[in-house]
Amino acid sequence: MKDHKFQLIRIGVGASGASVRYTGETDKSYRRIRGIFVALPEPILEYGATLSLKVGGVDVFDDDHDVRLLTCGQGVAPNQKFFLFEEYIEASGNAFEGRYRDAGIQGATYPYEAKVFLWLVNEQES
Amino acid sequence: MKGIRRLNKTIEVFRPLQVVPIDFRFPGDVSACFGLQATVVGRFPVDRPVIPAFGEYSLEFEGKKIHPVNFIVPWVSQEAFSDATQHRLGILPLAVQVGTSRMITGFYHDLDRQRLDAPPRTSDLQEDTIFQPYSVRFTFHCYRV
Repeated sequence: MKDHKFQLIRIGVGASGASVRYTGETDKSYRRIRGIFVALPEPILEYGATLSLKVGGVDVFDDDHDVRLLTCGQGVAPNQKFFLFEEYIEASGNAFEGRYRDAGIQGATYPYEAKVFLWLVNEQES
Repeated sequence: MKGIRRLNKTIEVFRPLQVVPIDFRFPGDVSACFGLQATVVGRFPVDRPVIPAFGEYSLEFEGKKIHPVNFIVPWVSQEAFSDATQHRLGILPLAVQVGTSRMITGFYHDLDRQRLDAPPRTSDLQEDTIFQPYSVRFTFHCYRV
């Protein structure tokens, strides 16, 4: 039985200060989005970077949502890296969209790839 | 549960010890605020990985009827890896029912901690450390109506 999936969204960031829109669909084999985790290649990129997310047309994160609230360092165990959603967010092939905004920090290396992981599960709404 | 809305409010700080007023209104689809996160957005030339009390803030809800939070905002270096900077910022719990007013007021106060690691001034010719403007981002975690 398939209970967990970690779906990867790759966001290519070409230049300092870039604002990149991303879209996609959740895996339809899973019912719920349980959590989210954002991984950036360099810690300094986390200063001021933001990520918005909309699933099925409903705002999950507004514009200006700080990436630092959705990420953590290497010392955190994999199962504790995720920001967990208290609310029930339907996966089941739902469309998602959002925008990643680079803060244009001096000393960062471009281009890079921001990785957004969605933790999908098959548990029912409680 | 009808869903959660996470609202962000960003303020700008331009001077040391500046007091920045906070004054805005929750949108109509918010029924309660159950948590708050505050982060300093900026990069400063200090040696230490964490400055625990970088600024302080106070927030009042419902047109100053409810005053649930007076707290500090730390600054955390993203570059200096340590146990203190590896974690993700938690949510400060609140339980504020949002009524008719929807007003949030208060202030953020810079505590002039950017110059903690600057060398002491030894002469009048020595340049003072330049204050770097920064932002403070408040994220309100709210239940939808």
